[in-house]
Amino acid sequence: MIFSSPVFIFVFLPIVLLGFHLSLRMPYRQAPVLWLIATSLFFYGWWNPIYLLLIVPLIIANFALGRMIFAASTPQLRKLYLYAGIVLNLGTLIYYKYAGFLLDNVNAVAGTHFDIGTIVLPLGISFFTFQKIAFLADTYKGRVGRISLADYSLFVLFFPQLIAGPIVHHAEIVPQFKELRKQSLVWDNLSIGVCVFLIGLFKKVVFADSLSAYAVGPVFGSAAAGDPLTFLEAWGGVLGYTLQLYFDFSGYSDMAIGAARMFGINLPENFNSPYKSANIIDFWRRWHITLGRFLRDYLYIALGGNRHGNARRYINLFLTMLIGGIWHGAGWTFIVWGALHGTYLMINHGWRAIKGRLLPDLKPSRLGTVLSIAVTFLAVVVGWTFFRAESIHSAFAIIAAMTGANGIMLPSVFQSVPVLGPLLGSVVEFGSMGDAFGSIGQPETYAYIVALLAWCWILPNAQQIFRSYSVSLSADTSTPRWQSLVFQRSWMWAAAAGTTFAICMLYLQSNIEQEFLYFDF
Amino acid sequence: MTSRKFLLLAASVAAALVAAFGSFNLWQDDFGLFWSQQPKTVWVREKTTKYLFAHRYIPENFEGLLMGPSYSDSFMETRQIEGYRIYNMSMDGANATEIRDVALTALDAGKMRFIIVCLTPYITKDHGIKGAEINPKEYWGSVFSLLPLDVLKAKWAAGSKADPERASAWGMTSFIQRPHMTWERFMKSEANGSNYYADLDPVAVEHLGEVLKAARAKNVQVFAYFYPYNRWFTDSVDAAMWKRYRTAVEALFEPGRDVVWDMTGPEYDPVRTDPGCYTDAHLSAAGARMVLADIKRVLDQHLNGITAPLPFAADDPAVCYGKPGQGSGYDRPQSTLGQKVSMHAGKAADAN
Repeated sequence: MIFSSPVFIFVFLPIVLLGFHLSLRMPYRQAPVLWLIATSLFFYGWWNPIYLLLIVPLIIANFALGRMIFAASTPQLRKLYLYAGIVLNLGTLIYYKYAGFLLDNVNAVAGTHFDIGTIVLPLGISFFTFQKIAFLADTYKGRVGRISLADYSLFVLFFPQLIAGPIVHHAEIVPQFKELRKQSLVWDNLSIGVCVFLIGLFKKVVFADSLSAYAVGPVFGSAAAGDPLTFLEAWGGVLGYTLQLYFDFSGYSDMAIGAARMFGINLPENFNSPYKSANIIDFWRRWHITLGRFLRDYLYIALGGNRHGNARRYINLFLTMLIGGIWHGAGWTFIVWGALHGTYLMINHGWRAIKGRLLPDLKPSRLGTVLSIAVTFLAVVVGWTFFRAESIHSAFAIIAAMTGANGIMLPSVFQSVPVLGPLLGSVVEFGSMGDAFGSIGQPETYAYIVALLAWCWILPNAQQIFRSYSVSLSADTSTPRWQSLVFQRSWMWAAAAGTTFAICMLYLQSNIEQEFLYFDF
Repeated sequence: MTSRKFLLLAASVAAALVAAFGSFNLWQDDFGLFWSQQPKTVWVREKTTKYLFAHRYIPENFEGLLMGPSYSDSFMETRQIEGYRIYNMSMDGANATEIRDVALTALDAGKMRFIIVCLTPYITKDHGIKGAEINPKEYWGSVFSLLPLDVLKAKWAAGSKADPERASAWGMTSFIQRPHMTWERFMKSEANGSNYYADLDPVAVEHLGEVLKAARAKNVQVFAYFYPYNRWFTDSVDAAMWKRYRTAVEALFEPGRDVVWDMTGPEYDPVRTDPGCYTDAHLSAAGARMVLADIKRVLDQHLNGITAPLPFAADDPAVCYGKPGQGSGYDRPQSTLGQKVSMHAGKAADAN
């Protein structure tokens, strides 16, 4: 069951909400928590009930290990239980996510023919594995108090965040479960939650899914088939994917945050207009924030962070991003993507250090900021090419086409533009629309991509729009450029919400293939 | 404004918009699903549109179906087959699964007298719905989805009048001819033609068989013809693969009951050796006219007992060329007009 399906919107969510509010009135204190656990298990089992047999025992085992760490009499025993938990969780993840990839590589190197058949990746395993490891690590460090099995189960299972995050930290969500019964702003939470959910739904079904069909699939598919791409096709496909991924995942996160808010629970912010980043360090504070936070707290710092000198710091940065790349998927393209971002971060930190020493008083100008955003965006776009491509070879082929290696052909309409036409004519070719745009379709697609880029760069994000209502934990509530876009309960906003819902329904009822990109990770 | 009032207002706006859009589309009834009796043309998404037409518009207005991929679609204006009301249900890029799903919907109404299947390896090379265009969800999607909006957009762009050369109420949808395609390039491309005929998918063959079985079960007469590929194409195919395809497909038909004829036979060479009859592997307007005339000949013979000769002379050196308004527009060298075309010309061009 995905958030953007009619069965979720019209059946599951209303029933769970109704049951939840009824459970709040029941005398049994844990009733709302148990109701949410039961419905979250149903939500997870809807996809494939067999994987309930994986997630439930894992929850029980992790809870038991947490208790054992908590109660262990010696540091050695505590460490032993922690390692047992890490092996259990990582072992499960490695089996389901990486076994095939590892065997393929062993077979390729050793010339063997091991085969373990097809292993279906359980939904959300990468996300809940991180949550459980963080819980065990924090228990080991004495940062976790006593917690009930019901609260722990809901921390892992709570359906809005179960399958694609945000990756929730126990310290920020378990205390909220204890406050569930104290809810007094039921309608307030519902109205805010619905509006945030609608923003996410709109981003997902209107923007992300249409980009997939018109721009991304055909271009990456052609590259994988070895067809040479033109300059415009390559840029169209890669920019299309850059936008698709953002709208898909941030849309999903908004829906998760909105759905949780309907139950009076605030999830952490996951995206903060990442394409407005002026450098890669900034980008990783804005893109998939909860993953970046986990990698920093439980990997980078565990590797030593910046405590052992600059050289080790850079190596740790690189390794953290490399592992972050592997976390996204079992494939060399993800490894290259992680390595690329590790390199970017090393360069960015190095540049900061040099700049701090040589030009300590240099303040960024407006033009400098714009250029920084452009360079950062370009670096991210190159990274996404590897992230999406079928192979490293096809990623390089797309990047080559983006540099004009296959020639640059522009639609002949540009030829007749005064001054620009003759000027361009000296460096590019002009061709018929069909030839220049090829499989990616019509010029409208490019206009659409440009409009969506403008959307990303100019408009405020959901957290900024709802800045007065703290829709997510630790959200950026800086004042957006356009004050009129800040949410308030007015008839205008009600009309906008109603119209957004109607448009989303129009798209949902249409025959557009829906996929959540991060379900694969 | 209270949160409760806010939610109520938002829900009312959404409901009003959905109702307004839905009512407008019900009133338009672009797919003839609810009340409209007007002739319908394909404006967008041919497969979806013809699937929706198959629910009501086709069974209520036609007695026969022509089904196949683009080969029997482009320029195949079935209105030209006088004496019969045949809907051209062919769809660009369709395979046997897609043809089956649309055909079974049209046959369900039980009003068809006959079907004509255009047999080409293209429809049996793969199976499954491509691009999810044929989906029962589209029935109500015709009222509330992007589909009616796309139709509205297409109508607006065309000034609400369909180009009769491009699409007709009888199902034909034609492709733009390729002005850059010279006669020599045509022959070269055909001789180097695609080898999709080698990919015979048994599931697709089965799906094609399901259409024939459903037709027979409803006492619908089955006609089928092997598409008249041009000679440059058929001469370049692997004979063993081609035979494998023919054997698998011919086994689906019941001799003595179904009528199957072969337009790749030597008697069709006047058409198959004239580039004027083709735009590429597809028929030109003139070529389509020849095939339509031949379909009429076979229908007349089996449904009305009227026997007639082939619609072209065996010694006509240019069946489609040089006939006013019928040529495909290729730049055929003047020197070759009135001569039989050398079957090796394509190979020679290739070698060059």
